[in-house]
Amino acid sequence: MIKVVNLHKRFSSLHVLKGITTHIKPGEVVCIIGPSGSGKSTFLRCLNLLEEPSAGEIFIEGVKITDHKVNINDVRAEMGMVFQRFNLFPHMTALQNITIGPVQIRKLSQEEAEERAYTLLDKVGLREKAHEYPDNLSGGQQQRVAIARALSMHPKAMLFDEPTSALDPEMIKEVLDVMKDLAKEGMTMVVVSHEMGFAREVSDRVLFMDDGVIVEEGPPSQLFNKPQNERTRSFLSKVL
Amino acid sequence: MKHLKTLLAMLIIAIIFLFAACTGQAQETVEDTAGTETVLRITSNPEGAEVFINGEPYDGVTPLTIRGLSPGRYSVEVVKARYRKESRYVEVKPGENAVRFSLAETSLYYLWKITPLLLLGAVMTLFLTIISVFNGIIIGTFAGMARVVPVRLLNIISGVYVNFFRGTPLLVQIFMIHFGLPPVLGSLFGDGTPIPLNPFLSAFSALSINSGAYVAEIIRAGIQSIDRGQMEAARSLGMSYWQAMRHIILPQAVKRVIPPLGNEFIAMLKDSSLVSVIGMEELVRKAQVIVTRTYRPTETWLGVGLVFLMMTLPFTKVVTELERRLKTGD
Ligand SMILES: Nc1ncnc2c1ncn2[C@@H]1O[C@H](COP(=O)(O)OP(=O)(O)O)[C@@H](O)[C@H]1O
Ligand SMILES: [Mg+2]
Repeated sequence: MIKVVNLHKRFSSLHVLKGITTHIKPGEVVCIIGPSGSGKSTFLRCLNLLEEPSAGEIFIEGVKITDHKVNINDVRAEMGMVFQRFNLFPHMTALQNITIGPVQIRKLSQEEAEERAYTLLDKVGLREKAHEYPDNLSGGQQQRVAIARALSMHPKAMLFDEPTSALDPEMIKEVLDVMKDLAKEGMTMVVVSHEMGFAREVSDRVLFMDDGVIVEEGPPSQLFNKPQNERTRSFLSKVL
Repeated sequence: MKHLKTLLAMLIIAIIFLFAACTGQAQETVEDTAGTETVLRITSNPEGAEVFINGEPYDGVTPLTIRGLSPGRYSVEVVKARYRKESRYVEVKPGENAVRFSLAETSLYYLWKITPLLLLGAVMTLFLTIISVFNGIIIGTFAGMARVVPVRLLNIISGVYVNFFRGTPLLVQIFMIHFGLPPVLGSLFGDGTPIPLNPFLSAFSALSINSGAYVAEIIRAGIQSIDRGQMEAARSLGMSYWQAMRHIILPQAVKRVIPPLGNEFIAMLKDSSLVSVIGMEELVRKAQVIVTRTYRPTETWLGVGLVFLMMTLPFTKVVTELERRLKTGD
C-alpha cells in the first residue's frame, strides 16, 4: 500500500530524515513513537508531499509519488491527514468543513456532499454540531470534525500527527475512540502518537524513530515488552 | 464619545482663533471742500449699515448724507448685522466731508459664506480619494497577491513596485507623473514636444498608484497573518494552491484586511491634499484661491481643517468599530 525506500529529508543544512525504509500494508495500523525532533512529523508530511523528500522513493499502491510527473493534488486527495492543531477552517461550519473537499475537488453536488457529510458526522458523533463554527466546539469535537473532514475525500490511508496531544485529558478518549472504530473498519493508518495505550491496543506495528532513522520496529507486544535496542528501552522507560 | 471630545477641543480652538482674528482694519478717506454748511457723506461697503454719531443712533442707513453738523470732531460708527462694526473719528469742516467704511464680515459669517466653496472642494477631495483608493484596491490586490504567490518573477516585480512607491514621497510621485511624464509621452507618442497631462489625470494616477502600493502591503500582511496550518490543511485535502487561496485563505484574509483598508482610505483622504500643488481644484487648492481673494487665511484654513475633520471622523469611527468587532471574534 505505502512503500518507502531510503527516504531522506534535509532542511538546508539540517539532515532530518536519514534513510527511512518501510512498507505499510493495506489495512495496517502503524504507530510511530520517538522523542521530539526525531523527524516523525517530517516523515508523515513526506507521505502526502506536504514536505518534498530530498532523496528516496515513496510508492502508494505502486505509483511512485516522488516522481515529478504525478499530480501532487491527486496524491494528497488520496491521503487523509489529521493535524495536532486540528486546522479546521474557522470561517466554515463543521458541515462546510466536511463538504468543501468533495464539492471542490471531487466535484460532487452540494446535496450529495452534505448527505455524505452527515453520515460522517454520525460516525464521529457530532451530527447535532453540523452548523456550529469551529470556535464554538471543544478541542475534542474539533478534532473529530477534522477526522470527518479528512475522511470526506474517501482516502486510501489516514495520517495522524499527534492527534490528541493538543487536547485536554478528558477529551482524548473521544478522539481515540473514533480512531479505533476507523482501525476496526480496516482503514490503513499511520499514527504519530504518544498514546501508548492506543498503540498497544490498536496498532499492528510500532516504529520507534530516533534521530531520523527507524531504530526498531515490531508488533506492539514485542516492542513494548521486549525492546531490543538500548535507545528504545531508554525512551520507553521515560514515557511508560 | 472620544470623538465628541476631540470635536469640542477643535471648536474651542476655533473660537480662540476667531477672536484673535477680530482686528479688522478699514481705510479712511475723508475729503472736504470749502463751503459754509457742513455736509457729511457716510458710505459703506456693503451698504445698509446703521450709523452712530458720538454714540447716538442716527436715523437712516448708509449711504447717508448728514447736513448741518457744527464743525468739529465726531466719532462715527457704522453697525451692520454679521459685519464687524467700525468706528472712526472724523474732523467735520465746513463744506463737503466724506467718510467711507469697508466692512469686514464677522469670522462666523465669513466662514458661512465660504462654506459652499469649501464643500465644493471637499466633494472633489472625496471623489478623488474614493476613485483613487478604489483603483488602489484593485492594483493592490493583484500586487499584494503577487508578493505571496510561489512565482519568483511576480514576487520581484511587485516587491519593486511596493518598495518604490512606499519609499518615496507622494509629492515627488505627483511631480514625476505631472511634470516628468509629459516629455516621455511626447517622445513616445508624439513629435517630441511634451504632451501635458491635465491635473485631474495626474492626480488620479499618482494617488491610485501610491494607494496601490500601500494596499498591496495590507493584502500581503492579511494573507500572511492566516495560520500556515490553514494552507496545509487545504492542500492535504487535495486542493491546488489557487483553490486553497480562493476558498480558504482569502475569505479569512478579507476580514482582517478591511480595517487597515479603512485606515488607508482616511490617510489618502488627507494626503490627497498634496495634489493641490499641480493645480488640482480640491479642498486645499480651493482654499488657496479663496485666501488670495479675501486675505483671510486664519478663518479659511481653520475652515479647511474643520471640513477635513468632518470627513475623517465618521470614517475613523467606523474603522474603530470594525476593529472592535473583529477583536471580539466577528
Ligand atoms: N520546515 C522546517 N524547516 C526547518 N527545519 C524543520 C522544519 N520542519 C521541521 N524541522 C526540523 O526537523 C526536525 C524534526 O522535526 P519533526 O519532524 O517535527 O520532529 P518530531 O515530529 O519528531 O518532533 C526538528 O529539528 C525540526 O526543528
Ligand atoms: Mg511532530
